Formats: sequence, structure tokens, C-alpha cells
Amino acid sequence: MAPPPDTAPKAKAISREKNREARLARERQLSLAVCLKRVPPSVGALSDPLKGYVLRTGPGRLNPPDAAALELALRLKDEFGARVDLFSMGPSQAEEVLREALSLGADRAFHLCDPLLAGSDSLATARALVRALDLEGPHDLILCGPVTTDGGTGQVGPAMAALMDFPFLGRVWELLSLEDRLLRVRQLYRDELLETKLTLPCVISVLGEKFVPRLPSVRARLRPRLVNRLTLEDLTREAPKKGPGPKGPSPKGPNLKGAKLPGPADYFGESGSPTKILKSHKPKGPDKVLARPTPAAAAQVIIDAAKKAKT
Amino acid sequence: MNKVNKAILVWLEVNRGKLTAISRSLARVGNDLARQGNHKLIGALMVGSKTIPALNALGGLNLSKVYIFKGRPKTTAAERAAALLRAAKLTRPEILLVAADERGREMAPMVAAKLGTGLTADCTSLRLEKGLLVQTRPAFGGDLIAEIVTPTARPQMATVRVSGRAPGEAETGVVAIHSPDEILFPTMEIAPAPAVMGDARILKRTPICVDDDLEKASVVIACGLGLGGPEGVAKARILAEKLGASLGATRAAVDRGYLPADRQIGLSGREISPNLLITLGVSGSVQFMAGAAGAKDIIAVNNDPLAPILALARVGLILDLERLWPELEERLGTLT
Ligand SMILES: Cc1cc2nc3c(=O)[nH]c(=O)nc-3n(C[C@H](O)[C@H](O)[C@H](O)COP(=O)(O)OP(=O)(O)OC[C@H]3O[C@@H](n4cnc5c(N)ncnc54)[C@H](O)[C@@H]3O)c2cc1C
Repeated sequence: MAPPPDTAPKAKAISREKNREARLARERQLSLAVCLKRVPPSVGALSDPLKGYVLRTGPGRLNPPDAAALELALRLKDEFGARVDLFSMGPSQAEEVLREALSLGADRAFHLCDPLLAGSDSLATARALVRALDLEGPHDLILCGPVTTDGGTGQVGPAMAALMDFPFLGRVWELLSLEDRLLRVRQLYRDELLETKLTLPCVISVLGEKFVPRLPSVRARLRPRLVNRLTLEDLTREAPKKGPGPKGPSPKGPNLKGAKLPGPADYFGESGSPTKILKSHKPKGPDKVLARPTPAAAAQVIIDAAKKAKT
Repeated sequence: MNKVNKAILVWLEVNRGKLTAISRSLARVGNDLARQGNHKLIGALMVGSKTIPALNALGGLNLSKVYIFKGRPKTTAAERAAALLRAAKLTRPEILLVAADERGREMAPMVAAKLGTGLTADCTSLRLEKGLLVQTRPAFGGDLIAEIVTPTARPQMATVRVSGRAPGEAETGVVAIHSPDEILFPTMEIAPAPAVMGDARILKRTPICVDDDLEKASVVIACGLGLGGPEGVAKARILAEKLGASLGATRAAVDRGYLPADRQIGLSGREISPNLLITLGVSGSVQFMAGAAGAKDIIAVNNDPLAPILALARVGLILDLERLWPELEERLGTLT
């Protein structure tokens, strides 16, 4: 084939093509969301064994298992240039945890903070988070920790996945590959190791052993660490129409055509939580013993109890 | 779910053609509630092949009906969740119970979210009170005990901590099904697996050999950093032998090489539910308690009166281990 007489238009076409490719690549850029929670630092801060139950509104910290989810997201960012969004629901102090995570290299942070969201159970929490993801998304991959050290239900991640109609992969131990939106991971369960593949979008929970959190980088620390606050009103505002990408349907709840439309109070916060705490107490039965026993008495207590428990 | 039936639905797991011990325990919990509240007990399970668990094993569970979903050989959590969701829609139970093991804790929230109902995690006891299911669960690593109800939404869903110590006898053998006509169990319904979102596929499954002695043990001794070194650990090991207990450890103790990593109890370790847990030199971190909160009774030995474990344990013994050993030896013989 003869070369074209004028190469200039071709060069232009090539550069246009390159731009288009770059744009497409940008559009295809992974968008990640990490859900984080601030928890009380330890059991010790919650209770005083000698004086009984004291709830101290002392310092909190990032739920340790969540740090692995953040680390995995940041590694994906390092490798693919993904954008990492952070989401956390909680009282105003939770902002500190988000700032910290920003200083590790995340891009945007959203703090769901509203007294009306207080008292949410795991479903109401998942609904609020999904709503926020919906507003700020779409996201290709949503990462969370397997469990928190305070509430400890581990339910929010799978519930979010169900509300978004995304698949959920729990206990991700290792990320094997991510190519063309095809994700391959290893999941570690007590009695088996699974190798799983799926096409994004999805929600995953991440185990900590292989994703040891990094230290904050100086550069990231110098960047403005802005946390966007989302109130219940923000969350219940109509979602803007977004371009192509995974659509996360909002947690609409039942489709009530013609019926009285449920208000936010039916879905979020304490009033929107299907479970209610009847009461809670320190697990001190009438037979609770805290003693400085003689060593002899202690030995006898242990041996007797073991004998009884065996029968 | 508008109208509900006076029924309790339990999710049962099958492993290598056998009903798991956890499932049998869960069925028993369901049975106790069913008797209290005059409910029907209904089971749902998914099988990955042509085999279903021995009919006599299912028969022994007192189920008035069982739904069996036929899935692929390697079912994902989403597939099991879809099956349970289908069963829930078919039976519309007042109560839905799933075992609080790793798999149950993944699938139950998906089902609850789809049904828009409440789910209480890790219940250690359940009872009926004025028609409501009162669900007791530990929170903050056992520092708090909460009683939770789901007043209006249905079903009332809970994941339940049941032990791997199976009640009743272990069943043997499997039954191959070729067509539903062959089913002898009168109220058994075989259904194809419902479709699920996404294209997740399990490519490979590598079984991890676990002896589940820790999970099954009725007495566990947990070794903490406070044992002070190999001598202390050796004593704890012999003590465990003499008391017929299984030996576990905290992460700190594992990190020091006191015991191998597979002995670790906790958030990133194993989850135990013995009748009695004896902790020796364990501080009682949230992470440790995440695996230990299922213990029915805890006796803790620690020389620091402010150690959290002393508040969490039923019996907190403020004592130096060095002073305890001689007394134990006096009663049990030498521990070296
Ligand atoms: C993400 C993450 C996951 C984790 N997962 C787990 C997990 O799965 N399991 C786990 O156990 N930990 C886990 N940890 C670690 C956990 O936070 C604690 O560090 C650990 O449980 C502490 O172990 P310990 O109680 O043996 O040690 P320590 O906290 O050091 O406690 C030792 C105790 O021994 C007492 N003691 C010392 N000498 C004596 C004596 N002579 N007589 C009597 N008592 C004595 C001390 O008073 C002290 O209370 C995890 C941590 C993180 C961040």
C-alpha cells in the first residue's frame, strides 16, 4: 500500500486517537471505596474491673482490621492509579480517622455525620453507606474490614453488597490479579483456601496478615486533608445522574407504588433500624468472682471447674 | 413480608455429603425454640452435587419440612444466600437462624438486607418472650452483654454461636438422588439453585487440615504472654493434659513462639466455645476476646488487678502464676 501523500493529518489523527485512549483509560480508571470505622481503643478503656462499668468517651482509633482494607486499596492505587475514596459513619471524632487515612494516600474522604444517624444498627448503617457510595460513586471495588472490634458483627460489608446487588467476597487473604476488571483473589477460611474470580464491581472484606498498613508519607501529609461531611439530608437528596459505570441502586427498600412513600426515618438511624437493644449489662452473673485467692484455693477452683466442665 | 407463618427456618450446611456438627447443633437450638413457641421447624440446605446428607440424619432433626437446593459443586456465599432467601420467601418464617461461623456470618447479612429485616450477630442464647425472640449477644469482646429484639420486621434473624460439639450421633453415608421421586423423606423439596448477581466462580478449593480439637473441646486453656517463657508453657501443656483440656494461645504468645500459629485464639485466629476457658497470663485484648467470647465460663489468672480479662471472666483470680504452679502440682502431680 502506498504511503498517504500528506502525513500531517495522520499524525493529528494519531494524537487524537492517543488522547481518546488516554481519556478512555482515565474513564476506566479504577474507582475504589474503603469503609472505615472509628472504635474505642480497647476493652480496658471501656471498663474498670474494680469499679464496674465505666464508658469513657476517650480517644478512639481506626478499627484495626479496617487498616488492611485501606492498605489493599492504596496498593491498587500505586499499581493502577486508582482513585481511593473513604467513607466513615460516626460521631464528629470519626473525622480524625479519615484524616489519618488521607495522609496515607487516599484521595477523598466522606464523613457521614448526623445525630439522626446515631443508633443505626448494621442494616441502617449499610443503607447509609450505600447511599453515600451512590452519591459519590460509581465505585468498582468497595473494601471493608472483616469485623470491628467494638460492635463486632461483621455484617455491614455483606449487607452493603446485597443492597447494591454486588457480589461479596469475604476474608480476602491475597489479591492474585486484576486485569480488565477481572479480579482474582484468595479467600482464607478456617478450613479452606479458595481461589475465586469475578468481574467488578464487588464488595470485599480484607484480612490483615498480607496487608500491613504503611506509614504516612510526607508528601501525602502535606496535602490538604479535606473531609467532606454528609448529613442525612445530603444522603436523602436525589442522586445526580452519573455517566456509564457500575450502577449501585440506592437502598430503596420495598417498591411501594402509590403507597405512602417511606421517609428517611424508616430507613436510617435508630428509627430505621429493625433491631432494638432491649437492655445491656456487664456480664457479671450473681456468681461473678473477682478475688485475690490463696494459691491453694485458686488451684482447687481451677481443678474443680475443669472436672465439672468435662462432665 | 406481610404475613408470616408460625415457623422457624434454619440454614443447614453440608460438608462432603454430611450434615455438619454445627448444623446439627443449630437445628437443636431451633428445635428448643420451636417447642417453646409451638412453631414448625423448617430446614434449608444447599448441596453441591447429587448427594444429599443421609436421610436418617435429617430425619433426626425434627424438621417438618426441608428445602434442598441443588447448586454447583463449589457454591459461593452468594449462591447459598440466594438459596436461603428463596427458602425464606417460600416459608415466610417468624424466625430465621443461621450458624455464626465464618460462612453463616457472610451469608446471613445478605439475606437480612434483601428482606429488609434485622439481624443479630453471634447470639449466645435465644429465648421467646411475649412472642418476640430475645437475642443475647456479647459486644465489645464480651465486655457487654446485650439483649436485642426485632420488634416489627420479619423474620427475626440471628446468627447463633453453636458449638462444633455435635449433639446426637454422627451420621454415616450419603444418599444419591436422581430424581425427586426417589426422595423418601416425605416433606423434602428439591429445588434448583436460584440465580445470583455477578459471575463469581470458585476456581480452586484447597482444604486446610485443621484438627478442630480447640473448637470441639469442652475445656480450653489459653496461654498468654504472662506464662513468661517456655517453662511456663510446658507446665500449661501438662496441666492441659491432666485436665483433659485443649491448649490455645494469644497472638502475643504465638509471636514469641510459645505455641504454633494454628493454636491462636482470636480475631485472626480460631474461635472457641468451650464450657470452660482457663486463661493463664492473658490480658484479655478485644482481639483475643473476639475468638473467646463464646466460652460459657471463663476462669482467668492474672497478677494485674487491672487486666481487662479479670472483668470479662466469671472468675477472675488475681494471682501470680509462679505461686499457682506448686499448688496445682500438689494436687495433680508434677507438671514438668
Ligand atoms: C489486627 C489485629 C489482630 C489481632 N488478632 C489477635 C488474635 O487473633 N488473637 C490474639 O490473642 N491477639 C490478637 N491481636 C493482638 C492483641 O491485640 C494482643 O496484643 C494480644 O492478645 C495480647 O496477648 P497476651 O494477653 O498474651 O499478652 P499481654 O497483653 O502482654 O498480656 C499478658 C498478661 O499476663 C499477665 N501476667 C504477666 N505475668 C504474669 C504472672 N507471673 N502471673 C499472672 N499473670 C501474669 C499480665 O498482667 C498481662 O495482663 C491482634 C492485634 C491486631 C492489631
